[in-house]
Amino acid sequence: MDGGFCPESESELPFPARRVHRRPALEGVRAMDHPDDLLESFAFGEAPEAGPHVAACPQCSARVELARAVAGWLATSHVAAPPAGLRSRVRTAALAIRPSSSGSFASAYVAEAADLGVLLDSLSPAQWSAPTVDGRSVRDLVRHLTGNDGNVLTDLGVAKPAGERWQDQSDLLLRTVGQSNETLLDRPVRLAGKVPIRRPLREALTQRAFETWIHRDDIRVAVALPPIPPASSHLARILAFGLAMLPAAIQAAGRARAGSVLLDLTGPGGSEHVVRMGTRAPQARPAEPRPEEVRPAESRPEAGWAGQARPEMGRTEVAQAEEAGAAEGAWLAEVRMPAERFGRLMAGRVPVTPAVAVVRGDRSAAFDLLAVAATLGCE
Amino acid sequence: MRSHADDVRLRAQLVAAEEGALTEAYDLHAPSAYALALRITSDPSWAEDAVQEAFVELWRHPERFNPTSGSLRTWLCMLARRRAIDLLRRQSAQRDHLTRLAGQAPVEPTVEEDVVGAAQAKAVRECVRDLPVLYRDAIALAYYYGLSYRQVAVELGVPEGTAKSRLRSGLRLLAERMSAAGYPMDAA
Repeated sequence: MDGGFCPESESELPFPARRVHRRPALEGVRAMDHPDDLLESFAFGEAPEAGPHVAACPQCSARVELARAVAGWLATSHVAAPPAGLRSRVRTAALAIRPSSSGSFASAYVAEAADLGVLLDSLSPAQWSAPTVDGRSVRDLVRHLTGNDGNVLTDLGVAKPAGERWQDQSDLLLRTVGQSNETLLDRPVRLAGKVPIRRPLREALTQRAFETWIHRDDIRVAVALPPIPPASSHLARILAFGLAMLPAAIQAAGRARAGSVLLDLTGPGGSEHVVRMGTRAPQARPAEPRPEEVRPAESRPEAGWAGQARPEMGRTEVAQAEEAGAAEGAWLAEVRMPAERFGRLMAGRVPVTPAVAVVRGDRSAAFDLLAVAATLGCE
Repeated sequence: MRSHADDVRLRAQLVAAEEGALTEAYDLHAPSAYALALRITSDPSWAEDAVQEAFVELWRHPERFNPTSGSLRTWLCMLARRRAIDLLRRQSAQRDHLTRLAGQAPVEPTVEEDVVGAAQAKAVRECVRDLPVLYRDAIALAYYYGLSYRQVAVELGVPEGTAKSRLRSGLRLLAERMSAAGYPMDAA
């Protein structure tokens, strides 16, 4: 039988020599202050009053770590199938005290926040000071992310947590969106970026995912780790978010013209997109317009990318390419590149060079699109 | 065995109230939490209560789980242990713990574990089995029943200092043997 705690199976092992535990003179911690009787209880999850001392005392911390490790092993030394009905009872009881989130709108941000959390947990003190791509330290970059997460919380009317820990603020944002309803999801909040723009929370969360991914990879590169793309479904969502803003950004940048460009993003997260080259110019040859595209371009508000009232973007400007339109050559140009590269280009992490994409047709239109796309990142 | 990254992802999903993360955590870790609660209480219905409250607590406050301090499984087991001990204490303040300990049959694995997790669990059971009984009892009383040094000393009929040194020596010896078996402390 594998070992339970059965007194009758006493072994003949010799009593191990006791170690002499010296108590070094700790600055600010007198020996008599050690909560010696509570250390194991604290390690087992009780006696929280010992926590502050343990955190400041290497000697007690070492004892706690040892006991905690053993507790972890003991806790998981056996498994037994719980009764069949317990799973649903747990679910019912849990959801009764805290409802589940109502959709997957935050899933990309959840994933990126988790990936960043794993990375930050692994950093050494020296790595926190490492310079990133734009000269800011890792610490400064995390502070920047924290600030932008905090702006969203502020706009939602949620009091920010004390301190500047990214994890605390990210947790609060996740918890807030996890309990959000349609009203909250529609509430405009600041997007990160040089130009103040507000978009509904549901869209802002995708931008938070975008920015968190890009800065997570900035940090990875700074500490000599290879960048890794988001999951394909999350990348697709991030790209759709950026592309929805692109016509207004092209308009605001003074590069608008009639017609569309077919953007063929390949690989994981990729698909074909038709991007209008502005929000005001009429379409050259609209191919199979969708109902929402029938609305005359002139009736739309001014382009908002440069900070005007409310940017018009989204469903009306971007549509999945249709085979018929492509066959008719309805596009000013066709631009083909990997989806991940386009995402990094949007963040300004990939320069717009002639070789960045395969271009057919009007190169001027194609590179205007790419040049403006490269301004869509935060900073 | 789940990785640190898996635990961080589940934590983030739990904070965001993604119900799928709760069921995933349950499916992964309930067998460990239930086995532990059952060992402590020797009562299936109490063990169920302890497990349920552990998962409800995780769902209510997932932020309190710190993945840098240990695994999600360990965290959930800690919550279940605490609740199970509470139930035990409520039942009888004068319980003869040693008698219970002697009569306690170890819970054998009854569900499929992942290979790495099963190997570690087996190593723990073997290291525990090979501990001197003086140490084993001290650890069991403190860990499974949540007894203080003073209470352990009363149970064992030894001075308080002896109870403390037995517990600490036992913990240290167990850690050393686990380390020798390929499971260093920093991987616990």
